[in-house]
Amino acid sequence: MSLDYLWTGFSVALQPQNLAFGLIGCFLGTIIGALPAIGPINGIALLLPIAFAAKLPPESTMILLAAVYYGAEYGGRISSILLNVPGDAGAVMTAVDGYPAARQGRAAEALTISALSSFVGGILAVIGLTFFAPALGLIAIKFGPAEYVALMVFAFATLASMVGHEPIKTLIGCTLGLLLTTIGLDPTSGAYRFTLDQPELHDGIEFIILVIGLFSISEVLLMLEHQMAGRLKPIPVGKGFPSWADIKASFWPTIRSSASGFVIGVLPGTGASVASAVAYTTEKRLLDRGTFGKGDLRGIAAPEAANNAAAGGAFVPMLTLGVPGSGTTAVMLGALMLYNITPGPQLFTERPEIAGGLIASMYVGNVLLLLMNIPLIGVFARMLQVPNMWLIPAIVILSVLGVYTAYSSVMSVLIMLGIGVVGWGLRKLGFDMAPIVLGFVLGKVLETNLRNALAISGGDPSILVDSAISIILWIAAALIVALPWWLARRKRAGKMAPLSAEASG
Amino acid sequence: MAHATPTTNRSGKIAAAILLAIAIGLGGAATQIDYAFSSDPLGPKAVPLILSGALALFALYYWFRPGEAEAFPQGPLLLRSLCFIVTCFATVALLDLVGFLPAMTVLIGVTAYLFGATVPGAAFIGVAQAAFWFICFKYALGTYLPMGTLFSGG
Repeated sequence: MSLDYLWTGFSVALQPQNLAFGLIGCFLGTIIGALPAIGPINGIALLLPIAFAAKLPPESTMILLAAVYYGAEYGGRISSILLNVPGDAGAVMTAVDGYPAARQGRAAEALTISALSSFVGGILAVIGLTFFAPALGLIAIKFGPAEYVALMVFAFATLASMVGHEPIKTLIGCTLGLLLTTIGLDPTSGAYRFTLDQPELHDGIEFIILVIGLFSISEVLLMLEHQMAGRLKPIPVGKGFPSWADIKASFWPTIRSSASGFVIGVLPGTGASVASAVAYTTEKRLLDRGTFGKGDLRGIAAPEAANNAAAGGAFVPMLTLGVPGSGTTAVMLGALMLYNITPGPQLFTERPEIAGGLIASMYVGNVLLLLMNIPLIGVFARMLQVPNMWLIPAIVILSVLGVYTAYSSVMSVLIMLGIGVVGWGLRKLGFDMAPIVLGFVLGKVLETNLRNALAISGGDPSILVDSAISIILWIAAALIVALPWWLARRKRAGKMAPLSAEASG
Repeated sequence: MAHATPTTNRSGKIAAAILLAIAIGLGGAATQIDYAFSSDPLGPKAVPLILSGALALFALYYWFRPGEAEAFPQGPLLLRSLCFIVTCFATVALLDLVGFLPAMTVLIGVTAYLFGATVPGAAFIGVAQAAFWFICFKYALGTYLPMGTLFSGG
């Protein structure tokens, strides 16, 4: 494919006014993303009417909105790592290792690794977008319900890595997450399930309500206990940069997660939360020696790279097919339509300044974001030195505000608080929150697609292994479960062999 | 972070019993799901039934092997935890009635007090933070925040 459109794009993106829009977008996005529940979609929805009213040219608007998108993706990590309050769905897995790292006084290191891996994930995704967009767009439309089922089974297979020393608690957590997805209106039959006649439950439990409750409120309750017991000590800020060894160790997880995140991002309807969950669990499966979940920087690099790569991947179906890959790209698609621009393969030839400008602005935006955030990391990390009597009320009110402003409903906030209290109880009992969240993320996609696939085949389950994509994904799922087990067995057998040789000798 | 304080496994057994009750309740409710037509052979009941069955089995296993758990708070610590939980629920429940500023001033003030502020200090933190977040969200981000039907007569 000719890259002429990209050179046109760079000439547009590097114009001073567009560079300024990129910078403003990155800054606003970072601030917006750092506030819980106010994710990129809110930021874009907020700025779109302003950009349109200000009569910005379409390429400037798209550059501004894409910069907000990237900025918010990064901003979500700040509250996730520092406060255990994920700014958006894609930031949940970052909290799993990011928050323990911050509590150990390694907030600056965690934020730096997060910035670097976000940058790599973002850049690799834009490279993928540049070279493979039309081809990938065509593969994405080959994903039917059966292929999504296989993809979700693959994602669940990676979950096997979450099984700690008490597998029953992981299984219960995952089942609870799956059960929570069944609450609300069943889109296939129109039946209401477990709604207790509460209108607020008709749409089910929203992801952000679950996550803020489970992570933020339960954490405050635990901190309250530690405060009383005198165990809540001021957190040191620590040194600014991760060591070269840490950066080196995070290199391959970042590359692998960028690749998987990009592919998952390309698929409409999956998005950053699935991408980061799959990346984290895969890396945990491959690399964990008991350090994941305890502040391992590789556990931050993987979901961050995947999440940003997925954000880039979501542009592939939007630009090539006019099918949004995520909620945020759906709003951006609306923005293009406001300017009477129809996305599709012809966009690259007929309006190269739009397609090229957007893609070029992603390269520029990623660099700007890194340059802007690295010097600010020390400032962000110092947030943890704010006395608890100031910091923790801020966490509580941001949790309440995050849910209230997203759903304008007191009942939604009460549900979030209820989930928080239950989460606190579960954490006291030794349950990990991640399997609940992962069950929730994957459950709805799995059920909907399983039922759609069976509806298409008239109940014949062979549809689930009817295409090459499905078969590859099923085999990958089987391998990801069986391979570590087989390798561990081989290792044990290898250790036993010299012993038996000694015994017989 | 969580301190592993192994305790008797009584709390695990209680949790297992609650989970079992939830599983039975959800399973029972799933059989009652009412629908006229579904285009798929599974229907809306199958997945909840399978999941509640699985949860019941896991809960039974958990009952026999509850594993390690931290001790739940008791005495003054329990009182403080309950104070925080009740304040959260009460102030949020009153949000629409009394409005954002009074409700959140109380919530922030009580939380600040529980985390070591003196009473005047907590009151100051409550007022200052409620006003700060109000300005941020209402004016900078343009989001809707309730002003309180009690005072506006709405």
